Amino acid sequence: MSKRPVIIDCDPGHDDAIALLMALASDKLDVKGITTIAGNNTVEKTTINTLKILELTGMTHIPVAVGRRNPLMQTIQVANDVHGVSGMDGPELPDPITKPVDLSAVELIAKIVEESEEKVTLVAVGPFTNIGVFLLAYPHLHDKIECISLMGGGYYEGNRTALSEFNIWQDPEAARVVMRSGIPVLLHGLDVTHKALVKKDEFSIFREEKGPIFQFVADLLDFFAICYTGERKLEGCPMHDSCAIAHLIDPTLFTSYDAPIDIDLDGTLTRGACIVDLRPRERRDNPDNGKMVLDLDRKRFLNLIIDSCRKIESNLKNA
Amino acid sequence: MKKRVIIDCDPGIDDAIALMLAFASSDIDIAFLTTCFGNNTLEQTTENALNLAYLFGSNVDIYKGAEKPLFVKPRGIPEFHGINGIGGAKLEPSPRKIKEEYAWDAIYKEALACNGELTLITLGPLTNVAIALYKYEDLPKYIKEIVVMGGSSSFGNELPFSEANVFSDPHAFQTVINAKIKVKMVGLNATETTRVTFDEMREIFGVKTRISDKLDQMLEHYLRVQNKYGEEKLVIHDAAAMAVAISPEIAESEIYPVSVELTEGRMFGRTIVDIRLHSKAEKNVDVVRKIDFEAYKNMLKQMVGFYK
Repeated sequence: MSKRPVIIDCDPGHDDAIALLMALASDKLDVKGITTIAGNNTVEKTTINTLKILELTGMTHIPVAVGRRNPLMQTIQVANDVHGVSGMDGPELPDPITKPVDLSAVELIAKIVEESEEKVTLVAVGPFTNIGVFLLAYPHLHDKIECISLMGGGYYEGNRTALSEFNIWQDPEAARVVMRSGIPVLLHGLDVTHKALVKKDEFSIFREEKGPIFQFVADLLDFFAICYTGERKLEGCPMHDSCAIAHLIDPTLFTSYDAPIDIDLDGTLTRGACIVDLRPRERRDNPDNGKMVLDLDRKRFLNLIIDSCRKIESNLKNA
Repeated sequence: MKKRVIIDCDPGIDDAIALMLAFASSDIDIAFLTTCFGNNTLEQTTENALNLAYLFGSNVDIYKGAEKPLFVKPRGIPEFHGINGIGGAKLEPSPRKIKEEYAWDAIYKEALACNGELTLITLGPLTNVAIALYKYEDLPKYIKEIVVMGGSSSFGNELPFSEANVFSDPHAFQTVINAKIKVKMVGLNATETTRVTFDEMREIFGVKTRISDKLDQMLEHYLRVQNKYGEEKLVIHDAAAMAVAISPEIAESEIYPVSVELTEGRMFGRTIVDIRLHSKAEKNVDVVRKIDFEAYKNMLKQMVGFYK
């Protein structure tokens, strides 16, 4: 079976890091490139973190390109409160020796899509800025995108505001471009990602396995838990970004609903919220453009994370 | 002791069923009704309220309120309730007259007289209550609670997230929230848990009473329009809210920070229920999440029996 070609746009980020591990481990996905974006931290830092992860996993053949420094209409507001000053505090990894490619993120995405014989799937787990610019600047390539799997937004819940989630809150305009592109989206919002928990009493599963990947994940979880089991009052760490990857590996893990999905730019209280129309079809005034994901099978999802770590550990041993 | 209430309504087919419940209940004592624009023009909803009270055998007084929203343009008459707001049903005209005073003045006077024991039940846009709050700044301290059919913590009807009563006058509901009165919100998310099948409708309304012809006519229209809009079965929103007002114990609720989107757009009139565990916003509205379906059904059935 041929692997599905994907490009991952991310801002590591603790949950981004675990999402990347899952993608790199999967025999269903062919990671053609990774692009970075300002989000959880500045694009300089999210790029360094991306390179560190690729070096840790021995996957340095995958090209990394640096994305935009700022959202389309706003300036970036980094999330030191969640991810620490490095954007990925906790694990101690060596400074990277590899470098990003000379192309910008948007150019790398376009190059990969142009050269690909198959349609390419985009994954965006940071603010959707790079993807938005790619869609605006390369309209002739829209047909070559299979779908866009996203972490962002929510139906019932936000985090930065009552209804706006961090990635979309950072760049609602870019998110609107993505939703209105006509390319099918898979939207993993806080409704599902807050259920995609590694619970506090499950951290030991990772710590007790001795390899470097498991230790890396255990260190990520310990730091991530400071915010999430503290101020955010959850039972563990939400694997936000991993949902967008896991869905491509095993869609049966998730429960989702076809719907028209758009982003509100106008509201005083609702700017950056998702407008997901789940009313009866007879009332909807726009066509469906994707799936709103609302639930998942947490146990099987957790097993997929563990299996992914194990696979990379074994690849490293055999290398 | 019976709960003293004022019912503010815009009949409306579901208002009619809610009034049917209210007049039959021995748990509430209705001071009077006030009317508002909404499901039809103020003139029509007022006429309907008058004739419905007569149909249900009540001598309750009726005060007329607002004919349009506070600050925004009226959204026009919805088709949901038929040409005359009650599914085309022809009611016998009541011999009684509408009271001279405005709804807001009557509400304030009654609130003073009740000395803090008055409950408001609103089944339409919240315009009348908002005007009362604007005119009488001390009104909040005389209101025990306001039970509102309106808003939603999930999907809407007028817009993806906006419900008709709040959408019709969003500023009015925000005004009620701002007044720091105890607000219980029976939104679409809650009323949607009370949908009845056709068979259940028969079971509830099947018994022959002096009002059954009129109720059948209204409910058939209501069911037809709901089904046209892709809704399965039948929900009688205002009746569900009235049931909660009469018997609060049938509802599960939780207090959340709630605010209303007031800027025009796709989110206009959305009630924003802030469910974030880390939210620091003030918890101000008791949001009903679920209504005990069996208890609701039994109440309807029992109250229909009252009109035999």
